Amino acid sequence: MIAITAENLGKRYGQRWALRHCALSVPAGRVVGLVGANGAGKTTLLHLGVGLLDATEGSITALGDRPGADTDQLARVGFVAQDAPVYPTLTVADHLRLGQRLNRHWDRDLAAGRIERLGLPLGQRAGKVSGGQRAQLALTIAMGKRPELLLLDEPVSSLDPLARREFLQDLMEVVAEYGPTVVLSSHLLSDVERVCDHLIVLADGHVRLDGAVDELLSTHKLLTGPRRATSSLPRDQRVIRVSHTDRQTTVLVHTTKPILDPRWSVSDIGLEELVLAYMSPTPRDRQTGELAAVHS
Amino acid sequence: MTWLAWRQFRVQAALAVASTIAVSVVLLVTRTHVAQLADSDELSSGYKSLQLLGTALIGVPAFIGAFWGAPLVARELEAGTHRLAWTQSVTRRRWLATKLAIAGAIAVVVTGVFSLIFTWWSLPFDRLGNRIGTANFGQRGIAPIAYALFALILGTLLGTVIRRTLPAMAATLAGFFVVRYTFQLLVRPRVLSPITVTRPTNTFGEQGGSAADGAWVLSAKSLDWAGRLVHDEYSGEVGRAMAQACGLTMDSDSTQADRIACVNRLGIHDVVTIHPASRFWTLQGWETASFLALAALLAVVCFWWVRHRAA
Repeated sequence: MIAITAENLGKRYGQRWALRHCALSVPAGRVVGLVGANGAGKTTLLHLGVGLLDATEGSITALGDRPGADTDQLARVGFVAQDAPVYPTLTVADHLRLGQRLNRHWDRDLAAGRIERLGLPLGQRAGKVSGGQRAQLALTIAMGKRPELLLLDEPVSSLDPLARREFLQDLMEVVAEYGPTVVLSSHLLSDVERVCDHLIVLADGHVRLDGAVDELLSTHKLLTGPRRATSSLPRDQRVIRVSHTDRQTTVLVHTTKPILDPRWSVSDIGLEELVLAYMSPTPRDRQTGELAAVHS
Repeated sequence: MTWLAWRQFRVQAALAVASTIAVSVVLLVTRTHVAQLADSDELSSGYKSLQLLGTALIGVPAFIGAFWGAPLVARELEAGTHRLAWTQSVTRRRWLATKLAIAGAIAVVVTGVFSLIFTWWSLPFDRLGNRIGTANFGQRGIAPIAYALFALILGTLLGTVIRRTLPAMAATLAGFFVVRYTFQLLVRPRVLSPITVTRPTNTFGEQGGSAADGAWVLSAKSLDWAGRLVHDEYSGEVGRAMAQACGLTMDSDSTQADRIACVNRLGIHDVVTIHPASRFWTLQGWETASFLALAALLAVVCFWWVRHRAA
C-alpha cells in the first residue's frame, strides 16, 4: 500500500517554480520526515498532498486518489497547517464541535479524551491559549477524523523545546495507537531523527532523497583516502559530495554494493550529516548532468 | 458546515435583525400620522426627516458588501484558517455555498423588510411626488434586495481575490457604487423605450413634466406650432422667441397673462419623454433581475477562484 505517490510533480507561482520534477513514493505506515531549508518547497508539497493546491504539471496521489477530490478523500487525510491555524474567537469546545460537524467520521472519544488529558480549558478562546496548546488543539482536530494519512506542516517550529518534546511524544503515542501514515515537515533534524523512519529531503524545489531511514543509512558510505579524482570511482558508486584537503579526499557515495577498493577507509554516516549533504548545493551528477537524487 | 457558518456569523446577524426591527417599529408607529398629514404643512420636521431613511436604504447594501462580503473569505485567508476549514471533510464549494447562503439569507430578510416597509411608509409622499424617478427608485420596492445580494457577492469575490480584508472593503464600496450608479444613469432609462407625450406647455410653471402624474421625465422640450425648438433644458430660448414674435420679454415688464396669450399665439407646446408611474414595478423587476444576474455571474467566478486559486 502506497500512501503518497508523485510523478514529475511541479508547482509554479508566477514565474517561480516552487517544486519541479518531483518523484515520490511513500509506503503506508511510515512516519516520514520532510526536510529542507526554508523555501525548499516543503509547504507546497504538503499543500499539494492535501489538495489545497493544484499541481501545475505532473501528478500526485494521496491514498491512491487525487488529493481533495471529494469528501471521502478529504475525510481520509488529516492536515495541520503551519502555525496551526485556529479560529481565535471560537473556544476550544467550539473547535471540537467544528471537527464533529465538518467530518462525517468523527471520533468524539479520541478528541474529547485528548483535550481532557492535555488539560486544555474547554471554555477558553482558541486565540488565548499558548502556542503549544494551539498546536495540540489543531492536531486533535486532525486526529479526530481518524485519518489514514496525517500531514503536519512544521508542527513544532514555533514551540519551545519542552513543548516540542511533549508534542512529538504525544504524536508518537497517537500514531502508535491508530497507525496513520504521517508526513511531518521540519527543518529541525533532531526532531526528525527522533520520530521518523522515512526521510524525504527537498532542496531548491527538487526531491533529493526519498527512502527509509535505515536503508538510506546503510547505502551511504563515507570514503576517506589519499587525494585523487572521483572520476576513478566505479559506476555503481554515486558521488553525493566530495571534499579535498591537500593530501586527502573524502567522498560521500550512494551504493548498494560493498566498497572493494582497499585505499578507501569506509565509515558509516549519521542521519544529520546525510541530510545536510543533500540539502547543500551539489555538483551536477557527472553522468547525467542532473542534480543527484536518490530514491530507495 | 451550517453550524460553523452560523457560529461565525451570528453576531452580525443578530445586530442586523435588531436594527431592522427597530427601524420597522419606528416606521410602523409613525405611518398613520404621516399618512394623514403628508400633504399639509403641519407635519413636523421630525417626521419629515424620517424620509432620510431612504438614504440608509442606499447605504445598507453597500454596508453588507463591505462588512459581510469582503471579510467572508478574506479574513480566513488572512488568518490562515482556510487551511483548517478546507481540510475537513467538506468541499470548498459547500463551504462557500453555506457561508454565502447564510449571509445572503440575512441580507435578503434585512433589506427586504426594511425596503418594503419603507415603500409602504413613503406612499403618502410618493403620491404627491414620484417614486420612479432617479433619486427615489433605488430606495423603494425589491431592487434593494438585489443590490444587497450583488454587493455581498462582489465583496466576497474581491476579498477572495485581494486576500486582505481592508483593501477588499474599500474596493467593494467603490465597485458597488460605480456599478449601481452606472446602471442608474446609463442602463435603467433605456431598459424600456420611453413614451413621448405632447401636452400644453408649462414653461412658466414647473420645469419638465407635471409632478402630479408621478412619471419619470427623461427629457422635455418646448416647440412652437411649426415644430421649431423654442426651449429645452439647455437652451432656454423661449424669451427670444417671445421677444421676436410678441414683443415681450421674460422679465417683469410683461405680465403672466401677456405671456400665456403669446404662448397660445405661437402654439408653444411641450414634448416630453417619460416612463409613466405605472412602470414602477416593471422597472423594479428589470433592475432586480439585472443585479441578480450580475451577482450570479460574480458568484460563478468566486466559486472558481476559491476552488482553484485561493489556497
